[in-house]
Amino acid sequence: MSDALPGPLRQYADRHGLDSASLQAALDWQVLFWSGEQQAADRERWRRWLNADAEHRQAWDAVARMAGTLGTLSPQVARRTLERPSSVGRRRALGALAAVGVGSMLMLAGARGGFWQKAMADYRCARGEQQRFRLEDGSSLILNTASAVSVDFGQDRRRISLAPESEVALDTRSSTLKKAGPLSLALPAALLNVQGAWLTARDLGHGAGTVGVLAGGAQLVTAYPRQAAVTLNAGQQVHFDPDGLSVTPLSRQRALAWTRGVLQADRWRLADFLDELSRYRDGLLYCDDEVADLIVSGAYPLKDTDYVLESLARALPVAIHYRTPWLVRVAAV
Amino acid sequence: MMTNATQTDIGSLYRDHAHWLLGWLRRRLGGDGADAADLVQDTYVRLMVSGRFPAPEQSRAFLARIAKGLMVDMHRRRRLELAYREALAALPEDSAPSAEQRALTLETLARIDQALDELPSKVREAFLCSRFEGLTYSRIAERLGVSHGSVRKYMLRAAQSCLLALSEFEPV
Repeated sequence: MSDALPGPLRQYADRHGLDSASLQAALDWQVLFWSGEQQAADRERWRRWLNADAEHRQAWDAVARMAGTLGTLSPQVARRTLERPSSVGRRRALGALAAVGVGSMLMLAGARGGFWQKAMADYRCARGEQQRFRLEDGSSLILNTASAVSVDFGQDRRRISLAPESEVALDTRSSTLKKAGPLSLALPAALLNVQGAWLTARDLGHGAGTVGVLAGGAQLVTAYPRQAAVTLNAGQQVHFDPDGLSVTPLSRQRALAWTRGVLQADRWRLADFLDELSRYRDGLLYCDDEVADLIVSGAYPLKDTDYVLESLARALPVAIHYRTPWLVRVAAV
Repeated sequence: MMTNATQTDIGSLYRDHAHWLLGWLRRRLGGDGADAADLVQDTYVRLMVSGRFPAPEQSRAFLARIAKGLMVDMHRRRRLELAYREALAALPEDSAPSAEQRALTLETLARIDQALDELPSKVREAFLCSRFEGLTYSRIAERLGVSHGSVRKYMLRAAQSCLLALSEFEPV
């Protein structure tokens, strides 16, 4: 068996609630199985080790996941890609790639979140629902429809990453970890540094998003392409997109409407209202051009979008045509 | 001396030095300045994430140090992207992965690359031979001219590094 685990691995074990001796053993087993020289008796010994203790199984699961990820790679592609290039190849590579121009910001902002799959997230919420969670540091998190976040609470930092087109309300004021490291909230196109704050954040896709601060403060840096940084105080909201950002006063009621299951419209165009409503239901919801500019106001329950459509038909000169439950057209009467 | 993030306004750090940093990076990177602009952004993000802000008189040295590290990362990443493209080009047409799959694979490869980068080159070679060529440890020992026990040690180090590198990123 190997020497004691190096420091970073002990920390890894602590972070993931693994027993470090078991983790060490699991790595030894994995290295044995990779040798291509293991005997049937080794497998039997491994099986006994695995079944001897729940901590063994947990440690093995972690190591097997890593091995499984390696196994998803095409061997030829991985071998060629990871080969140390000669210095000639390296210079050529640098020259050729000057043209590729892949922003490294996403890699950074998404670092550890990496490329998103909502299914992989730590917390998620189905379409049409709102869900409340209590995070391990005591912060409260509310997810809006079809949203997902991944949470990484390390030793000296806390990071929450939003999946694309997700919306959350986060209140870190109740965090019990007063001495915990800084908390950052990563959106696909911006990064927030949060200090004991209550805020809402939404990714709008295509490098755009909104953040509203209800209490406390936060600092925001946006990604593309004209970077900007801004400090937000309570009562302010920012909308950002690739062209820049604008800070405006925040309406508390409007910002929190969705957390109460309400869609709050204040003189919205019907087309915009339907866009927003369609976030909360499956399928396609659209209107004809001739009714697109009708004005909608009011508070609508998000739980029942069919009812919302019915009330639109009562309030406006429109009719709702259900082609199927998933294909709904709003047209002039 | 460091001050706490709450005491320093990142906005003023940005206003006072972002333009200077852009020029600094442009001189080193050349090109149309798009990379330099990205790296300015990344530098401030890194600063914010760390939550440790420089004392005013050290702001520029501090920003430059972060930016330098990011430049190295960027070059490494691009090298890897190119190598990946070349490796894909060698595959038969019909086995080309989807864009999403490519992005996931590249991210996985980047993490492994970085993990292996911190280890001696023989560890990298042993790991690649084992995991992606399917060689037994005995064959690897022959190829590298080292003992069987060394190969096993190399593989353990590689496994430990990969565990850390991939632990928070596990494609389904």
